[in-house]
Amino acid sequence: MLNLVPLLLANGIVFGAIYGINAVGFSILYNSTNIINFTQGEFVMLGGMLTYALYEQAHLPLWLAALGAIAATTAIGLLVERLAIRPLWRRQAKDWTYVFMLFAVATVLPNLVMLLISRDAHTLPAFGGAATLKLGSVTFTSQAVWVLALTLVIAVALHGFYNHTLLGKAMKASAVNARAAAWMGIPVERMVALSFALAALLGALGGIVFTPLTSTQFNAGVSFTLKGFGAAIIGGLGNITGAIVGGLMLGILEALSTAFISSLYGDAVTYAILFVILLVRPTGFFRPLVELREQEI
Amino acid sequence: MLVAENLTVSYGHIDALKGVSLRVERGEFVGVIGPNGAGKTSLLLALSGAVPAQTGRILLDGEDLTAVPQHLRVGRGMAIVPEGREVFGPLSVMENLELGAYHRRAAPRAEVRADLEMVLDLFPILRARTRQLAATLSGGEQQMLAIGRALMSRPRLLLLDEPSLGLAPVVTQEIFRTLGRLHAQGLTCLLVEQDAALALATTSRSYVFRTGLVVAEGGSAELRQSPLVEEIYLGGEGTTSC
Repeated sequence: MLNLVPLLLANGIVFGAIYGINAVGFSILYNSTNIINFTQGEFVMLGGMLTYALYEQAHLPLWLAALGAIAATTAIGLLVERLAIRPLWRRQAKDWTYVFMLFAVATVLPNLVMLLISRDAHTLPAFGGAATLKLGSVTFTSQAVWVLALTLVIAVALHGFYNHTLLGKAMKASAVNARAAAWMGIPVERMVALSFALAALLGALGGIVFTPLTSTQFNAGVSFTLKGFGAAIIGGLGNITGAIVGGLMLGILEALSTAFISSLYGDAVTYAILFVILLVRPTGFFRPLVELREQEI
Repeated sequence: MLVAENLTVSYGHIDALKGVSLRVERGEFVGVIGPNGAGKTSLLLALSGAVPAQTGRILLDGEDLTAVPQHLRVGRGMAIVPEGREVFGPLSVMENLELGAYHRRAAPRAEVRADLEMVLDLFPILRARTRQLAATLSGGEQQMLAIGRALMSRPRLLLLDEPSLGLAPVVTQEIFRTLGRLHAQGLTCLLVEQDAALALATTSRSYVFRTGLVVAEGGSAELRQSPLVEEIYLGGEGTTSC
């Protein structure tokens, strides 16, 4: 059984990378709005299901279907912000109002997908065909390599965005103190919209590269939301690197516990371990990118 | 330059400003003094667009800003150094200053760069701390950062809300000396200050606020002798800060 460990680790890393991308979506929104986005997993589901619809049902080439799904999911993210979040924001709703509103959206979206696209589980062909990458005793499929490369690109790009672009800094400032940000001339509402778009885009990307590994279905979002949120918390909510590390930890834990304890209790064991980690490190392993709402408001 | 007419601001049932009118001419250094709760901060929040004015008009160089959203007012030439500084604590000093120039992001880089040098020359202590997080600065340094951040927007009118709050007297002096220098270079300033003696010594003309109304106005030198000002500050309604 122990000689399976490298393989399990590799598997865990690939799945963990997806959780990490998703956790980054949580962190982006938290960084600019203080909101926990409970529709994040739905964006992952939409990425997969919309690509399926465009590829299998509308017969577009795979790359075009993927691009279309990313664009559509991003648009849906913007729509969610415009219709569900901005009206609350303008009336200075309490944080829990957002949570409930987003749960409502997370219920509507999968049902729409079930009615309009399909109620069955679907998969997509692997992007790189059947090519594989061999590292020691472990073989990565081309899809796994895609996942890992994408995760790396996202981490580096976002790091640069938040630390080296004025727009990224303005998004951080909006999260720290919206009123002071507006005094600087930063259109805070547009920053919120932009972070929803960014979170949706990342979710869609994650869903698209993930789907060929197994499959996706209209109701897959909830589990992605939970795992993404869990990964973001382990990593330290709001920290991009932390989100990815948290995702990887979660993925590896899941792979090992499924193999060594029982696949039956896979999620239960994963969350039990999460529970222990949080008791020991309540704020996660990394500091947030911005420490929100300090004494200064 | 700035004309405010009959401004009213209320928070729920509490009227913070009950119809205040005031003017600031180009190149002036005007003070607003008064005890706690007189509506001084509400005035600046309304002028800068952070809270809506229920009635009245705000004109800057003849342009009506009353309906202009908060984030567009800095572009019209008005910057604020808010009460309690409100620097972006988790961001670096440099990032705070860069964000001060956010509305000028289309301006030539060299121009913004030159203003950054000007601010860092004005407050040399910030130059040594550009990479430090703003939250780790002392109160006085944060105040300097808040002023520098406001200057990065190249304002024509600078609104200052209690820049002396919580600072040691020697730091306050240093900051007010700098403000005096900026004014001498032509910057128009509107200073809200609870420390009446300090404000009246700094400004040339002042308004005295009490419970949301202007109860006196005039030359700062004359107001120093005014029995009314003395009464407000010694009469038990609010206290002078030291």
